[in-house]
Amino acid sequence: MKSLVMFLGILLSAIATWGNTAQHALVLWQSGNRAYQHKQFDIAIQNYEQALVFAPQSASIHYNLGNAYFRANRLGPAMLQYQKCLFLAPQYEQAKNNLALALARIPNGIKAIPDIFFVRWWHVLTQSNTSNTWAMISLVLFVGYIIILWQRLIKKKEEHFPQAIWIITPLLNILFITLAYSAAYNKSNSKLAVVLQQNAACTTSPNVFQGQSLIPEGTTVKVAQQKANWIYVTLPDHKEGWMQINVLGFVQSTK
Amino acid sequence: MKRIILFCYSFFLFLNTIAAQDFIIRAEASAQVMGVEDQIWISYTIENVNKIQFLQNPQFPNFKVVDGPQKSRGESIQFSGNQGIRIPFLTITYVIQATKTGTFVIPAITGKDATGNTVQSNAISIKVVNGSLARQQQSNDPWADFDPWADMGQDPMAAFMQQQARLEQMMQQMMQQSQSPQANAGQQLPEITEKELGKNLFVRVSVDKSKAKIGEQITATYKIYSRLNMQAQISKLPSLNGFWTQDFELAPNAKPQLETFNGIQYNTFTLKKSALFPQQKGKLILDAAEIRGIAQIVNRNYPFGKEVQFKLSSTPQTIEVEALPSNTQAKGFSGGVGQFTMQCSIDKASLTTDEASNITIKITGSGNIKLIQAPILNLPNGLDIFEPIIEDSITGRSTLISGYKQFSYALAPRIPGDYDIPPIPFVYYNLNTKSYVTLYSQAFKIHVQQGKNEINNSVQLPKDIHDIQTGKFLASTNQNLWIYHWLYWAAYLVPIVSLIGFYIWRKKQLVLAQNTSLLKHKQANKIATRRLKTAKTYLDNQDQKAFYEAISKAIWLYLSDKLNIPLAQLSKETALEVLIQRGFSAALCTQMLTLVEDCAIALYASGHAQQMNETYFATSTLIATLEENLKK
Repeated sequence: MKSLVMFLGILLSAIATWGNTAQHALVLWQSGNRAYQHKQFDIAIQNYEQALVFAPQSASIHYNLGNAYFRANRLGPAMLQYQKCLFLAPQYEQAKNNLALALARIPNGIKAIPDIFFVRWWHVLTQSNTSNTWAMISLVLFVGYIIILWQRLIKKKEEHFPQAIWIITPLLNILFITLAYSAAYNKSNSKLAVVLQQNAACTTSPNVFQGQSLIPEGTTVKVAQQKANWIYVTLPDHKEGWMQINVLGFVQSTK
Repeated sequence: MKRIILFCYSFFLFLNTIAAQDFIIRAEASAQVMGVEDQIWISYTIENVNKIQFLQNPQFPNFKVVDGPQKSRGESIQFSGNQGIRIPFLTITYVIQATKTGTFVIPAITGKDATGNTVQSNAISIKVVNGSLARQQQSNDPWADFDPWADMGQDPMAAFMQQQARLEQMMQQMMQQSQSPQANAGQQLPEITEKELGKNLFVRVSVDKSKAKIGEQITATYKIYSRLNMQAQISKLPSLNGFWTQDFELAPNAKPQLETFNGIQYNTFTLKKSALFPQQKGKLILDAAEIRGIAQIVNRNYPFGKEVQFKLSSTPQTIEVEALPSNTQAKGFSGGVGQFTMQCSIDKASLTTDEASNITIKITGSGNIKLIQAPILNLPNGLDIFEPIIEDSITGRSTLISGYKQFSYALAPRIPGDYDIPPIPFVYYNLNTKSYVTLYSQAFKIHVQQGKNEINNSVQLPKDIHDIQTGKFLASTNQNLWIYHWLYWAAYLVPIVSLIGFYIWRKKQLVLAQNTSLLKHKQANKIATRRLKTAKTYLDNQDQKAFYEAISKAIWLYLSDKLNIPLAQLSKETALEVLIQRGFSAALCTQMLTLVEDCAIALYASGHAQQMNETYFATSTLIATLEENLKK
């Protein structure tokens, strides 16, 4: 037990190292904030974009940049920045609210159709911030399992525990590990992309401009596969189609 | 081929029905006698087809239908003198083959008109023989060396008048002929070329202007000019590519009109009158209309007239189309050219989020009304708009095409609030002023209240976005993922290792514990002797309390170690039990009990000093005896 506590301590105390680049980012971020407060949104956008070069992992910059784009009436990039912010910091409540507001502003936006309940549950359970919780639960359960095993092996107290425990506990353990992995995957991979062009074409097959539907700017799509310059996407209403790569902004920039 | 022949053949039938007002169903077969391997045509021709309400499907007992029904619609125009009638007809044709030989009757079919009058067709009797009949013989052509214009002479008008006088006679002849259809079957009339008919019969297209702008109305009229007694049918209507066309209604029983063209008077009949709206710039061609028919030619050789077939087409007419000017006013041009007015209305200005409101834009006027595109509405956020429902109608077809086009937009509000809909623009090109005109609707105000539907508004959105984050910022919000770290997996080893460790330790402890009891057993005598020595010193000092304590301790601890009974469980009874188990004598046991009791009495009830020596020796003997017996 002691070793576990120590191990947790080591993990929690891991702090990102601050270097010179962070200083640059901070300066740019502050001037961006000043420009924003003076309603010079174009300048603010420039500053934030530069700050992101130095600190691409900063949820705060993404959030502020999203606001600047929103104020400049550029809903597509605003949505993209909010999505990026939430990818990095899933609990960023203000970003969530602003995203919802931006979504409502999209003219003729595609109405999202909710997933089936179990898919929704799975999404909730595997939110990127839940990975460590699941890992912890899994570990605690494992320790408990070992203790019971010890009780049985050494103290030979059998009567307290039903036999099923020997099957259920490992199964639960596997489930929790799967959840932890799933959540960790969500944390490090985003399949989301935002349409950055008004009335972008979504076609039934790549390189064909027939049978297309027009997708409003700011629509968030799920990316599935890529064929040359075409991306297979799932729209919020679960319809699917091909879109050109240059009309999409990816939440996770391509590797 | 057969089909065409049949089609031509059906012309003759109309001769019988010139004066007919009601519809007529006529059944015809291409042959009366057929081989069982042959296929024949059965056609039902319904004249004045627009009056029919119900038509029975034909039955072919003893025959199988090989092909059909083929339907062809048409209109025949019949001239006889000053009488001209358009008769719309429908021909339904079946190709049938007999299933066995014999004489069979194809039953009549019936049709009903709107007033309930029933009209029956004729039944057809067909004889089916074995094998296949050879091709029908070509009918002799009695007019093979016909020269149609030999007698027209200098004055065609005179011939025309002459011909009119003989019409009645002619008609009767024709009627008699068609009483026996068999005689007419497969009859081929001599054909006559356009050139030969020349100025006596032609088709002409006239336009009111040969230069127009895109979208400007041009009226084109296709007319037959005739100085002969004839009947004709339109075989090909112009396709009028590049135009949007709207036909004018023609009077159903229009009489031919006298018209003078190039100094000669003609009977004219309008085939088609259309309003044309050019859709592209450049030279557009009104292609030819084509008619076919039969004309009566009267000359010296044939005083009773002679029938000839003809096929005529009009000369194509070129229209030059100019593009509309493109200037800044053309922005948002709806495509409408002409003269229009706009009406705009909303059916509900106050509604809830559950309801929908309709904005109706009605464009009324004359011009290319059907080509007007839907105006684009600029709506505030929170109002959803659906594709407009478009309705149009042409109401006036006199000289200018006029009517209306109506766009109904359904608005569905999502968020409660007050909305302003700015005036909706409609841009068209006015031909009179030769400029673009923009019409505006009035502005609308919509008040939206929260409806009952909660799904729409389950998330109450804030009015505006949250402000930016200032102050310190996190350069990286990277959270460590334990699952990817080796330490996490190492943590799983901890309980496993500790389990194994515990297990081993426990094993060792057990072994050790066994060793300890052995040691204690060995050392018990030594300890007891030591305690007895201490007791001896207390005895010498006459310290009664300490002495008995030492004695008591010596006995109990010795028994505990020697008999391997933990001190906590040790009592007189347990000790006695073990001693008896080990087979000690009752005397020894009694001695032990007495000693223990003596000690207890001495400790807790004072005043028995005289027995201290005795007790000491008794204890020494007891321990010695026990030691001797318990040695392993």
